[in-house]
Amino acid sequence: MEKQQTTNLGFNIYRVYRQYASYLGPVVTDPMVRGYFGLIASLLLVSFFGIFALSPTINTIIELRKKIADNREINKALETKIANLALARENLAQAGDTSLLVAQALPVGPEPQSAVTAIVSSASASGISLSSFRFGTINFNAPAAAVSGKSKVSSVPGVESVSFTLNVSGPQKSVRVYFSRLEDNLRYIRIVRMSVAESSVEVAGLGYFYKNVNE
Amino acid sequence: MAVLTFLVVLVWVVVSAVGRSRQNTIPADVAQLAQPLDPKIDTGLILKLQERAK
Repeated sequence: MEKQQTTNLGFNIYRVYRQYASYLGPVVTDPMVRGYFGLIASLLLVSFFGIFALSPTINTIIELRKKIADNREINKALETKIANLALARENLAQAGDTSLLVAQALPVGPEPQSAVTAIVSSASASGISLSSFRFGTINFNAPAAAVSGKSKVSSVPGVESVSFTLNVSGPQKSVRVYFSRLEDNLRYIRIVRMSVAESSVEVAGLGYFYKNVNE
Repeated sequence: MAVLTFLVVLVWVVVSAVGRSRQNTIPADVAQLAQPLDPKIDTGLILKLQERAK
């Protein structure tokens, strides 16, 4: 019967079949080889299914379980944040209306006018003469990324600064008072560098502002 | 050979499963939104600003 089936397929295939049959003979006849063959075939089958069925299924299950756990965590974090926001709103209401004060200290956008007012009024109040004053590049309408390129970005998210330089001259005591007034001004200004010449003092500073990150 | 294949596949399945379980599934924008918020208002700072405004 075996011979009949193979002859229907052709002579060459019959020879190949016979060759393989001689190899596979012990698999059928020898009980020990037959047992090992079963084991090997089972291992190969499990490996095949491991690659094409088990692994994708296990991965999908793990991924979905991870997503559920992460989403629960996010949900919990957002619920806490909502509760904290409500609490913050209450605390802010208790603190009174400070929005104007904060807006003056850290305005949204560079607001160079308020910085100029602070610098000039402090100078006149301290009795010193302001001989020169210059801002660094200010880009009013650029998006956040472009503004970051022109202004210095601080370590606080959303807070950036615009640089300025000025020259002042006057008595040493008055100049000291001027710097103290400048840094105590409502508009948040910081002096970063100072060089003292014979008759004047050159100062480099930063005027901080808030750049709305949601823009 | 079959045992080796089986072992390699087993290790691969385990490594792939462990790798998948360690993958972060939270999008960056959602993670940013879920950042904790401190509800305390720094009244000391507000007082300082009020002092400066005077």
